[in-house]
Amino acid sequence: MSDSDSPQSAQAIPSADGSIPVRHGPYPEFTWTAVLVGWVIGALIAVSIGYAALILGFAIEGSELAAILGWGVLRGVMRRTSIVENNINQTIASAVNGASSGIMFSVPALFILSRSEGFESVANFNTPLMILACITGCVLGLAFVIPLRKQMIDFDRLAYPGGIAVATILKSPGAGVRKAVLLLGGALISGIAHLLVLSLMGEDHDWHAGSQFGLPAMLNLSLYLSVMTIGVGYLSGKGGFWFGCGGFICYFLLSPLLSQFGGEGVAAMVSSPNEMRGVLYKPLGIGMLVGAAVGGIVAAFPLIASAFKSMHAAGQQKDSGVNAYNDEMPIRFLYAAIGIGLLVMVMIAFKSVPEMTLGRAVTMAVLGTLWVWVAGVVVAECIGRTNWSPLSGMTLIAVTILILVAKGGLDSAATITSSMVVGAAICLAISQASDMMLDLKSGYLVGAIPRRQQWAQFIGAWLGPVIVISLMFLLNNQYQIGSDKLPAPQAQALASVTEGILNDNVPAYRYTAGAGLGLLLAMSGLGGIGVLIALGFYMPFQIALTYTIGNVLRIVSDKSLGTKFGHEVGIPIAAGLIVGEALVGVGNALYQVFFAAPEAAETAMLGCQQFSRWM
Amino acid sequence: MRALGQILMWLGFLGGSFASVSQLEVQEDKWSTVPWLWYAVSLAVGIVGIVLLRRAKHDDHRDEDKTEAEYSVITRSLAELSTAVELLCQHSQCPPADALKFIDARCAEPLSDFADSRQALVKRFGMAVYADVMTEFASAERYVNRSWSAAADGYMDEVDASIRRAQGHLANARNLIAAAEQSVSDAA
Repeated sequence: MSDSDSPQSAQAIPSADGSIPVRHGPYPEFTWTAVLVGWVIGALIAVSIGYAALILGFAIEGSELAAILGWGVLRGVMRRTSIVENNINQTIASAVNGASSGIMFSVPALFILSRSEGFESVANFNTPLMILACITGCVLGLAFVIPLRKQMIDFDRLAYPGGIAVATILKSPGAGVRKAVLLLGGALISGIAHLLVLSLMGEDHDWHAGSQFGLPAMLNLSLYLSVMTIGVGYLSGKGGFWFGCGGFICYFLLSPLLSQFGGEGVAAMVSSPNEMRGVLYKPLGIGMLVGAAVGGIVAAFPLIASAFKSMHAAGQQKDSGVNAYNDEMPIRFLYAAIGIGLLVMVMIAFKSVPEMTLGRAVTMAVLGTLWVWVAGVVVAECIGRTNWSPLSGMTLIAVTILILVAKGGLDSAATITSSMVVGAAICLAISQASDMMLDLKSGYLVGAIPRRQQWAQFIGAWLGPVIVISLMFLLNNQYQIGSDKLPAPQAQALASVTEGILNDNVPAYRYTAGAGLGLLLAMSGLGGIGVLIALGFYMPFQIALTYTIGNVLRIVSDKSLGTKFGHEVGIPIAAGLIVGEALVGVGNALYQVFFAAPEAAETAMLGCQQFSRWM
Repeated sequence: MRALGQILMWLGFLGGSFASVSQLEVQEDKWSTVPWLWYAVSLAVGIVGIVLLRRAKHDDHRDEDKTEAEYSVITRSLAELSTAVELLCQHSQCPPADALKFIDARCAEPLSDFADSRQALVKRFGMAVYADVMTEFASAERYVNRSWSAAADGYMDEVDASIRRAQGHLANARNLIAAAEQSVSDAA
């Protein structure tokens, strides 16, 4: 029986307890207030997280922080009353902050490399050109990923756990007291748990359960002590289950087999899981990610074609004045952005070093732009299914491709400079692509207009490179990035890998083998399995294991308590688990910088003073 | 056939993975690190498994009872949602708290049911129709979400405008499904 026949449909809308003041007029969404507050919050987060990352070696997800700060400033201080306006504010702030994770380990690598013999000139790169490269990368990344919104969010309905957490924060004013309490309760539990882990275990968050139970070391049975990770797994649900399976395949199947039948060196290495991951599983996982993503694009071609068709149709309807199709960004604008972005990338590659030839610059720009698309798809899908982004792996492949193209005719220093300038652009492109999709998911859940969010992302994206690169220069001039005061561990790692690539020390054969395996899984017709298993190979098993606990909890709760319980109770708590740990993580990073290491605080203060003088 | 397909696919994948990581890098000839013949045989086994799996899936699509059950969830949830949205359109100037509660009570479940059963559309009508229907459904869901947000903030004009947009998209989704049904019955 359809609902139209039911008695319920005939009755009037029941009256609810509690009152919300009625407001008339347009619903504030893309306002100057949202833009300005977004820029300010984004700049603050980018500088704080960026600076902390130079010291601590890891960047922190800023979306939840941006949503909470925006909530506090817009609703608490400015008395604004629009969920979708805060969504735009959060989109802009996280777009600005996206630069810090992208730039933090690419640009500082040049400063670090410049202290090696023979590479002194690499730090003399053209700064405005580097900023332009990063901004161009942002534009390209967004232009490539925006048409995939329909496929990933509307058709495949990827979970984007971070997006759900942000949406839960944004919606909290209307969600009722019960959900707000659940959200806050989750945040409190997760915050306290993270504080305990930080104080008792320091930066090593792994509980090596296997060794305590006397299991062989090769099984790598360790748990990453992070309640947030359980929350992410819960939000991903059964869709994320294959991520953990990838880890089990590595350490519960392949490692035992390799210990018996593997080559001599490998058999000896199996009892050292970290080494196994770094040398064998991670490179294979990177290749698998690429193969699975390309295979996924081929498999989903009818859907992607349909998404493009509908965007074209939207453009034609708009031309004819029909208002109903104004939700999508004009496809012609995106084509133009890609075309102009490619041309600018050619110019950037050509101008990056005096020795560069036009042919080589065109090759670098074209391959780099193509890689932006592939890597953007990979990262957006990984974030959508698990909330983890293989940004460093994708950047590594980009830098490898660029160095292989550049080194044919340039000396080593020029090869590194040109590759890192174009590579930084690609890194920013990938970072923006994943951030855009995550924000579009939270926008979907609060009912934002995608086109407005997409413009907001463009409006925020340019500012991040300007701020973060300026900050890098100031800090490097004052303290030398890579020194004890600013160790920049991620950049140091990229610098050493870059030198390795220059010496042909790249496991291209394992990437290739992985790509074939990823393609095989993508063809299986089991949606997303290739990317998830690949991510299980790529990521540390302890994270995958903890994440799997969240998956299992969701599956059990859906089966035993029903999906409604999941939506009403489970999701707000899980979102709270993400928020609490993220906030404590940011707080801890700032504490470490300003209180635990006084010289770092001094560095920060002087950096801020120099920055304000420069401004 | 399905079980055999699964076994072969996973054997192929595991064989290929094992071959890929069975040796440390051979310095003299890096590309010989992976035993490519073994790797290729493994992939071939995996591909045979995938062919079997796809055939099994094809047969599964023709399992009328199963597809019909899933499809009935689609039509039922779409009808429920349309009715709820129509009702809200008629009472769009009700107090915001009432609209909020109504959306939570009457729209959330059919939206979730439709989304969970959406693969039935692929089985019955193919990818192109699925994409078209999901485009309309997702737009409708987004506008229902928007009317929820607007109601939570008290902007009742926006609630009215958004719920009408949702109504239009749901009508489009229903029309697309009806047209697809017609084509299927004409073809039959």
